[in-house]
Amino acid sequence: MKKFFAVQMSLLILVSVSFAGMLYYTDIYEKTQGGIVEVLCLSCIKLYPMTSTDFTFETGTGAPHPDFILDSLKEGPVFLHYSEDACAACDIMFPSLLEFLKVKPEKDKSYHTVTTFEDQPVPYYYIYLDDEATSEEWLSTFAIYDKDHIHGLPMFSVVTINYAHSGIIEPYYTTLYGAFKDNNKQRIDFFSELMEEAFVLYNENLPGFIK
Amino acid sequence: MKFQLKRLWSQILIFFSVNLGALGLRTGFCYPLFYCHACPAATSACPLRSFEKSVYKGNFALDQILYPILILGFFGTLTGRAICGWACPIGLLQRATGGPARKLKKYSLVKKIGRHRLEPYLRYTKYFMLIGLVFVTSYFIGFMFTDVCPIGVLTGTIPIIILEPYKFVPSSFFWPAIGIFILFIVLIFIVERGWCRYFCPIGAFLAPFNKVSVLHIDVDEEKCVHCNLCVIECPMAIDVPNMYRDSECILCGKCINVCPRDAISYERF
Repeated sequence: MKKFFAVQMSLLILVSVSFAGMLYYTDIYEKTQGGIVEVLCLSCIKLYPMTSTDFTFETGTGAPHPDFILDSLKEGPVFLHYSEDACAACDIMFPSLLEFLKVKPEKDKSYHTVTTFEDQPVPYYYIYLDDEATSEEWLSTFAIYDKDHIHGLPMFSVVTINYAHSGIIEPYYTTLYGAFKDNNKQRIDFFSELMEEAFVLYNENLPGFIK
Repeated sequence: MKFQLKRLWSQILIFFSVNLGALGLRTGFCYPLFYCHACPAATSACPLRSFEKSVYKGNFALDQILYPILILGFFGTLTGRAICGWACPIGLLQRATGGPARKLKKYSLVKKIGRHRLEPYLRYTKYFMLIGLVFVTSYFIGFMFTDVCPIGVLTGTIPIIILEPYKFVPSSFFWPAIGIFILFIVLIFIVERGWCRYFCPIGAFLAPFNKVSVLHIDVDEEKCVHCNLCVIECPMAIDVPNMYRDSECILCGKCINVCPRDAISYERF
């Protein structure tokens, strides 16, 4: 009986101390909060967000567009690609994006390059939420461009410019979520149409924006 | 009876506490019970998702696997499967469907299923679900369990469709998951605690802890007259007079209430 009691107490102490140690010495609490609880798990709900390509001026949080996006907009419409680890829908969409924009990011590292679409420059940002090296400024865009307040991954944003009611040229963006379309070709066609629309707006409004 | 009322209150209070996300409280803990973090009101993460993520497609994240193990291990060591009987919201749901399930017991077909010689083996399905569908498929193929999880449909999909009907479209897993969800509903209406008995992976994880838990149910063999009232009452269909730290026991205490000779009691250590 005493032996059994000792086993129970040892197990309890071992589990409690290990748990407290994990909470204190690792970032598992933040990882679980940010990676599971706060990000909508699309495979858990068996639903995909409705993909609407409507552009808007209003950011997801109401915050202004970050400076690095405004700087990049001087080169061309910006393409933002968000992903995280263990995300089935991200894995589906990843190769399509690589083929569409002819970029080669490592899957688990945030990355930036200026690529081209129909010979026009496109600043591309691959923002991997679980990459510890990703800057806070880049991470903050996940909420800023969460147009429909889905907070789910993968997420793709295209930021261009347009003439706003305020009378000035402002960033104008749209965001798509989840895995959509049935194959690579359909996805590439879909993104191509979106980029064409972004470039029409961009080219029309660029003189006013640069000035 | 008063005692079972206390258990009901515990289940209701915990149901509200796992849904504090509705008030903005979203923690980084894992639930020690079965509830989906995709629920719009969820407070914490489902431990099964953490397990799946930890081994997703050949990866191995020690912290993500250890974290839910320690949380479940802590409660398991203290109370065994009492979590299933006293805290789990899916247990609360099955408590509600337990009445109809009991009434159906009088039909011979249901009785036959309950007494089928394979029934005890069917209980091992939950271990297969935990190891096979949560760990193995996630390691070799990708997410499988969360794609079809009926609890995800109940606590995630349905509330989201109700709250935001025009925001989402079904994914390729939607209809298979709905099919499984319907089977889940049928199951809990025809077999009392059918989900806990046969399929719950969290129950499978907690079950071995019954062998070492601080809290457990004990039968005094000298007092017991084998009237079998406890067997009839037990929602997990355990042979209570002959049990010792049974891994199926959810410590609901129904057997304690019904025993005319007070031969059954909660024991510590």
